Amino acid sequence: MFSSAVRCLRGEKSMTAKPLTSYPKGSKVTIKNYCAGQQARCRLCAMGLTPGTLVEVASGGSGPCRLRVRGADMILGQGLADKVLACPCHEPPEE
Amino acid sequence: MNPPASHLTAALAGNPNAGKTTLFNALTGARQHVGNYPGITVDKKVGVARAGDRRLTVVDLPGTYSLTAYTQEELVARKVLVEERPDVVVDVLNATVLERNLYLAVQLMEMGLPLVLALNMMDEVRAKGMEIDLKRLSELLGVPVVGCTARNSEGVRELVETALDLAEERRGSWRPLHISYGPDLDPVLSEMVCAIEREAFLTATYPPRWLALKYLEGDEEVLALGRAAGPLAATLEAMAAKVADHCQKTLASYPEALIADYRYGFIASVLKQGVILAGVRERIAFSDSLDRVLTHKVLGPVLMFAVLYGVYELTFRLGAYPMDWLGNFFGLLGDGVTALLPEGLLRSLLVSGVIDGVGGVLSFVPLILIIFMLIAFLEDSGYMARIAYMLDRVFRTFGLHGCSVMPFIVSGGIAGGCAVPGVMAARTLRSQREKLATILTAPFMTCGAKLPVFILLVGVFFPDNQAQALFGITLTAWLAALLVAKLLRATIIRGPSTPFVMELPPYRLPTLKGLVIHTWERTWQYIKKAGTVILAISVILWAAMTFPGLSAPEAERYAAARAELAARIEAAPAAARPAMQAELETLVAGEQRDRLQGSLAGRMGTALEKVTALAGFDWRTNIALIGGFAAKEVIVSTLATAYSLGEVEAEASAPLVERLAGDPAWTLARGVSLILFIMLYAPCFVTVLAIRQESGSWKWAAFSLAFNTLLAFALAAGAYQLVLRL
Repeated sequence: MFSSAVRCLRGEKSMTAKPLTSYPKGSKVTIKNYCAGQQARCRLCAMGLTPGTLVEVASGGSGPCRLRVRGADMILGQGLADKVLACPCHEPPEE
Repeated sequence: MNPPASHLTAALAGNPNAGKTTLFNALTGARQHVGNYPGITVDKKVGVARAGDRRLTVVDLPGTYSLTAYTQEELVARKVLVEERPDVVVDVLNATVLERNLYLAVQLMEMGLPLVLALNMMDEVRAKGMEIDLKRLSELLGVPVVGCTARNSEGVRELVETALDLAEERRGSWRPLHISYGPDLDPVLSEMVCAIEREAFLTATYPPRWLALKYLEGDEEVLALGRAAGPLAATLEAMAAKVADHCQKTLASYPEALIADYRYGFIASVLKQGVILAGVRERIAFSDSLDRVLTHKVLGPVLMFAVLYGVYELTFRLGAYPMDWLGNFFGLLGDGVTALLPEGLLRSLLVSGVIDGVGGVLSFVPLILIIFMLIAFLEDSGYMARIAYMLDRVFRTFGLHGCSVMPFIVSGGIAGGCAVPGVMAARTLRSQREKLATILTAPFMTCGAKLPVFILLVGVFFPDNQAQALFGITLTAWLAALLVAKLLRATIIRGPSTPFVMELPPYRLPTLKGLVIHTWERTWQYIKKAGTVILAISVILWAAMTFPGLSAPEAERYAAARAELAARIEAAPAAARPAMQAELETLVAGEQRDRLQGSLAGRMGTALEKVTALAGFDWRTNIALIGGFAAKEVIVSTLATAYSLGEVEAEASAPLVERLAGDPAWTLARGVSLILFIMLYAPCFVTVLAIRQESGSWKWAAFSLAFNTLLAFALAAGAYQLVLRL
């Protein structure tokens, strides 16, 4: 548990990926990674938020995060959206 | 074993918002049966579809995005597929967002059940200028594909026939699809499959590769099943952990993310091979422009409160008429029985126990009908999801969910609601903990039955500021509900809030058929309850307020006094009669009071006096509060009887107000404590039953009785002692 959190933080630094909640309305971003537990990760994937997916942030500021993903409007609670790390999509992928 | 052709079963799967319910209605019409999946409160609907003389039993699975073990719905859907092994699965897809909806289809194909894809909303596909080659999709995936529009039943017959044909052809055999999961996962998957097949590990129920995938995804249910099944589980878990570690180190990713990625990759490759001939990927523009207003930062909440207020007004204004008719009908029925039967226990039982009890309960039916109609409209139109989205932040602070607002408001968040439809409205909440906290606290609100009681008390204690006092009571109820919800979520229903992930469906006009079916099935469940449990409890309460009553010599004394007085009235001159008549009424009222005090409830009230004195309640108040468990407005009439005032209607309590205002025992401290107690104590038994129904267990129903009463008493006693010392 602990080690994955550390890794997660390290990952955040190295990839300049920021939580979804830190992007303003209208940003187009690419999902990079998650800091969430396995269950939540499975859920996010099932909803189409796999790493590499292009999403558009449709709401800014605090509160639940509204996204446009694969043709649908999705709402992520703030807690969860904080744990989804994304890069602005004009940056080249860092795989 | 293959069941006879006439008993083929289909399971209806699909994403939420894919139009699954509409398709189910189109398939089965009114021939459906609603029950609950065992142990949880997800509706299980079963119906029969016909094509010619062939019949197909259709089981509606809960809407899911995938077949993981993340939500109750997913677990239930999976359980039905694996344990009941339907002859065919019909996966309903929203054809306008095919890519996302195929994700579930791929997982179903990986399980290998006989599968038919029903591409729903083909009318919207055409309206958007999209074109989907159904034949090509069917060839590429190797499963039958039928296009349909559930709203107008287009393609439904073809769907039934295709499903029946496939079920008959496959005869229950499963053919799992193999997708490649790339160089990082494929080798270990093969290894796991080999080990699973060698030991026949759980293979009686699950396809080996599917099982291996679940190990990689860390599926908790499968992990638990495996541990119970044998030692191979430990090996498989170790293999999965090793792969996870490898993925972390080399790819900075997770197996489940890779799996999802490859599934989406598979879908993308299929769609690219000439399935979507012409496609606009944007959503319906109408929905977006509507959202610009309805979820606007300022306008959104304003409009939302207007809508919520509208729901409330419509329910209780429209509902008032049929409630009146029902009330009058049962009143007439009671009068009729009173006239037909001689005075005595049987008459009292029929009138006060059976007719009043069941009549009181059935009078809620119009409210339930209307509220469910409106909620169904809000849900089917897509607005409910927006309400949850806008209010989630506020309610989350208290451990609740954005959707909790509806139960609160309907229960009496705007004074005058009713907790029965309120608790039932919590059905829109999908996450168990938030739902429980909502159900348990919604009854604190000022319902229409508590309102006359509060009006009485406010009239006694705050005669000059009645409106402000009532408003204060409503605000206090909200505060209490939110704080207690927070308390419950921090203690008994502790646990992280279910992460809020939800799809906002595009706005759609609901179909009338859907609304009617939706509303009727929920209302019918309630009516069935009224006929059984509620009747029994009503009779028990009647007995507690009646028996044992007066002792024989006392009853004789009263009867003799009454007969003597009646004879004197008979003999007296006309001018003296009114005074004597009044004397007789006083006598009868005194008899009623003594009879009430002698009843089981009365004895309990008297026995409890020592304890309840802490909150300032005497035996009269205690009996009234016990009676309030039947229905809160009974508090007024019981108090009146206990004060020997004879018959006092809840709505016309002026004599009681005068009596209490003139009584030195009714101090302000007692008033405040009583108001608090009535606000918070045990919900009426109809609400308790609703809690039982919605929480799925008697445990929570009992909890609401005990916890609410204790909490109410503690706060009432505290307030009493505080005000006394001021």
